Amino acid sequence: VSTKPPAPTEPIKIGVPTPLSPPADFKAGQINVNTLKLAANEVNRLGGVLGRQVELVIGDDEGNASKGVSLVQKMITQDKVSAILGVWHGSVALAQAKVAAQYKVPIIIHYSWPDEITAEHSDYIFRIGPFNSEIAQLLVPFIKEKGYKHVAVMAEDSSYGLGFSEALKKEGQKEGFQVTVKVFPSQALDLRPQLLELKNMSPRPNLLIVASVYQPMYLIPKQAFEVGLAPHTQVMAGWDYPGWSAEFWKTVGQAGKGIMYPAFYHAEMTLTERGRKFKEAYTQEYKESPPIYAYFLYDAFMMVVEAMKIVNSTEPEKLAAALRDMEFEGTTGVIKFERRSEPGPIWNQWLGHQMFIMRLNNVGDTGDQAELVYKVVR
Amino acid sequence: MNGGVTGDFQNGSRWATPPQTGISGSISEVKRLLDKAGLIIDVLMSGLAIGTIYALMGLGLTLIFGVMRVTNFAQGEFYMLGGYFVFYLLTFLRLPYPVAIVLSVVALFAIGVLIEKGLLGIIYSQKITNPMEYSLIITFALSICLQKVAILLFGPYYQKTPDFIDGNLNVGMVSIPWTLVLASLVSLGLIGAVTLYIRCSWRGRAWRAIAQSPPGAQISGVPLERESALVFGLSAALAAAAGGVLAPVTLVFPSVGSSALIKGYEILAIGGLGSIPGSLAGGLILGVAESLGSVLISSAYRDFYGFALLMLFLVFRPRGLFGQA
Repeated sequence: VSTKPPAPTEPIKIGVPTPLSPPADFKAGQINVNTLKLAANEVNRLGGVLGRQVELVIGDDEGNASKGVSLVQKMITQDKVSAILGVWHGSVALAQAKVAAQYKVPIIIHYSWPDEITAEHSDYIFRIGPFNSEIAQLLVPFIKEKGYKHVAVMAEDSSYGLGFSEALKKEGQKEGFQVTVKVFPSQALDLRPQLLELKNMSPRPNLLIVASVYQPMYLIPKQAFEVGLAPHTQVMAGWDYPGWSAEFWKTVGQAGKGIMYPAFYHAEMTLTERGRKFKEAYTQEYKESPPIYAYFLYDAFMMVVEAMKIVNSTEPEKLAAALRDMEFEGTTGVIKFERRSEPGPIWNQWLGHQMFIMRLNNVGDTGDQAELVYKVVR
Repeated sequence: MNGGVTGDFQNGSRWATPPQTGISGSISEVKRLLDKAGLIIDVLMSGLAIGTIYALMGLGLTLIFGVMRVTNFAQGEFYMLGGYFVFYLLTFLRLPYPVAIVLSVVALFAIGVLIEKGLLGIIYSQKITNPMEYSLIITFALSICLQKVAILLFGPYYQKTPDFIDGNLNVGMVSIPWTLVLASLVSLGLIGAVTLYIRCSWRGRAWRAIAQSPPGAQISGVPLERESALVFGLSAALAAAAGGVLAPVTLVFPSVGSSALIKGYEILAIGGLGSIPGSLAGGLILGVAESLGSVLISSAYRDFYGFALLMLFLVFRPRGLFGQA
């Protein structure tokens, strides 16, 4: 990027393209913004970085890839941001990461799951959060321990649904359990035919994983009960929405009783000193506990700040170089980006996640009341 | 990686399938075929039930196109509003289901009439040279506007109305939720009532006259503007009824009408523009094609089956099953 060096008194800018309006996941976007504001205030209160204040350049990407790409371009070329943080929807984040890499500006992904984001092995794309094939891999010991021989995945036709189901299928082939994948359009309203087909399979699936981020994530658990697939087949959400979504019990009702879900956070989780302080500050400021992705995003911001201190510069290329080799004590552990030269997503990728399998045993239970069924620790 | 486990543990041997030969193999094969047949019948019935509700959506579009010769891209939003009205009447005012559906249908009828008067009435003033293009653009804008208003008023959340009745209707191998069965019966009843009304009433004859020749109907004393507003209102009411009866089966949210609208137009292409029997046939064919296609071919292409039918009909039988040449 050919940029005129900013005057020393100018604030250091961090680009935050994130969804802030419906129908995109604006609630997550708002949490992203809140987290980064908290982090920026913390740094600025202590005098900023390199004698300058940190300013967030916030933009609404509307969960739309083309809007998200033009927003990142504008932030890099006009606002002269030093790094990009806070991207969210998987397919949007994938496009945004490519643009950031093209302009040689570091982007840290905190909770977007497509493997493809880091699979290009770019020197400018980093990921703290988990990714699809890692989640599939982390589920394997749980599936084996429980004796599930046949796992069905209802996968929506999105980067998440297809990426996760494909990864679990590969794990099944390696580990000796059957994986049946039923792909459906993400806006589908009637999933009964697919669920009836699963019910009629021999052997019938022991576990049904719902890999969706749209309305089928609520419809499938309910319709699985209606067609008689559940409760004989255990239903598991592909991610932790049953633990916190206000819509879950309203839409799923009794059929949600007993649902399991994987989560990357639990009260028993090990937090570092930084993590405990962040949790306390976030809870005090916003009157609610931070979700796990807020921890990862806070870490991303603090890593960029640390990189600036290390290289004594805000130049994007120098920051990317510093991030590559940095060892940083984050909120949940020491973060160091792994790079494996063989093709795959493990490139500038942190792998220190803890995963917990939770179960909601009673109608109306929240994540805080969920039973810990299984804990995966690396 | 290590881990610990709590809860029950299933024995893997339970799932082992021993090799089968002779009589036991034949019995197993027969059982497999019976299971497959049961699945097909189950899915077929489910597709027919959904198809009748699709047909209700298609019927509204058929009426508008048949009588007014215009298209309505906001029909999906009437469907969405119908779902929201039923949801709020049930959950906040705690009205019984039939009352909620009737009130929702009446409200959407009134909204439909007002929209027709406000936005489409200009068609009859001779100021518009191409009513079809005008209606296409204005209803498209209305569709976006209503979706945004719904987000502002109701929020972007998924809402679920309570079921009509809990449990399933079990007949032999077929098991369908009672809510879907009742939604299907209400849809069939409404389609029958509208068909009878159009066949037997003075107003129905007037609408058919407009469909055949608007100037001829006008010369015979049929007020085009008033009747068009009523047709548009009825069409909105039918979409609201479809949205209301399907609300407990699916979910209600601001963009729920988008896929309903697409299905409505697929039904028009299959059944034939302006044909009431065509709407019913189109709805049933679409419902069955989606359901059976999901099981027999792949569920990934569920939305494709409707488009494939639409393309096939447009290429090989452009007037659809019951449309006029």
